[in-house]
Amino acid sequence: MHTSLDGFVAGLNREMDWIKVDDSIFDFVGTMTDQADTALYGRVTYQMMESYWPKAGEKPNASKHDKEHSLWYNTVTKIVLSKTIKETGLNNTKIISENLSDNINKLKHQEGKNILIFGSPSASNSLLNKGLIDEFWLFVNPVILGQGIPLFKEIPESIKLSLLETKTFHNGVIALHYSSL
Amino acid sequence: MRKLIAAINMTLDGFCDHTAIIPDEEIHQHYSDLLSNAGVVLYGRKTYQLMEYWRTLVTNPTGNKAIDDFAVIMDNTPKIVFSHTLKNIDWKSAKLANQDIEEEVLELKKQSGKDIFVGSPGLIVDLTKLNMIDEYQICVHPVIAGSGLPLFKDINDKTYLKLKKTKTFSGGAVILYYEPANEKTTIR
Repeated sequence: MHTSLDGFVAGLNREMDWIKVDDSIFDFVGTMTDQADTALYGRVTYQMMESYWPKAGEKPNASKHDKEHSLWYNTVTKIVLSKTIKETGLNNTKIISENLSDNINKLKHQEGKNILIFGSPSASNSLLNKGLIDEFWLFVNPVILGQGIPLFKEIPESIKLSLLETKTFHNGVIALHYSSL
Repeated sequence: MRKLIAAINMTLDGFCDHTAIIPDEEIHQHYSDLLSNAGVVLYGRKTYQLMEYWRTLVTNPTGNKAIDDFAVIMDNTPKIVFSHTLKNIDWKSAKLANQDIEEEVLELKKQSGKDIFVGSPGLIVDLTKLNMIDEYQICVHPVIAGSGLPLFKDINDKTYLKLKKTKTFSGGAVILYYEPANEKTTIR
């Protein structure tokens, strides 16, 4: 999850032009996707992903990251938290519309690699409030946005985390890795 | 010219209430060292009044060395307080500012001496808008508070920064040291 220093995942108009990514960050995220066989998204993020990644690897000017992540995206099981999207006709995609805890716990108990959530602030907050997130990677960008869409919201009581490690990138992004206590 | 440094604690979700964070000994030690090297610290009224708590520990030590040391250092650190309501203050190391924050800081920066620190959220926001902060030292604590007083509020323009270094504490807090991305925009 990319965030500003003041905890926003996007600006007021959903702009994300302040997010700094480069090859070293893509490669680093690649080590995470290598260890995951399931991607989890909220509806908004899923629709953004779905509009780009299925064919991103086939573009004439596709970068190494485009090719790798497109392949990963098309291979993994995608879980989408949504009350409106229908599952029929989707490729390798399951929709969870109710019983979030039961359904996620069932997934977590299955054999397999990790489940990765990308972006998806609303879905992350629902999962966080139900104690379903085991670890976080926050990529803190060197910018104060002042206003925007907050990463964390509607958190009824404070949640303590444990810092596992940090990783600093040349472009000034610092990745903070936390686990739930 | 000496630097103006914003040093403050923050939760992972950007709140800076003193109740959201419980500093451990290591953090107290860090801030003791920081204050020992401060020429002067700028506070708004609310933060100043919170800091007055430390005066009571100088006369009544807790027995915890890190905390008691911090209290003594805080007691000795020169402070300037910005307030529209306080008419006088009686802490020997503190004085009320008699001009607005911009003028006061411009004057302080011209004087020789050790760095100027600012530790109040309201002042940090004012000085950020004025492009007057030379360095941010944001201590991010491993807690999501959910609600509280946002550190960076009422800021309408994006402020780009440059990460200089980090310092990690065993309790899971991380200090992020930033400078403004374009130093030329900083008013000195």
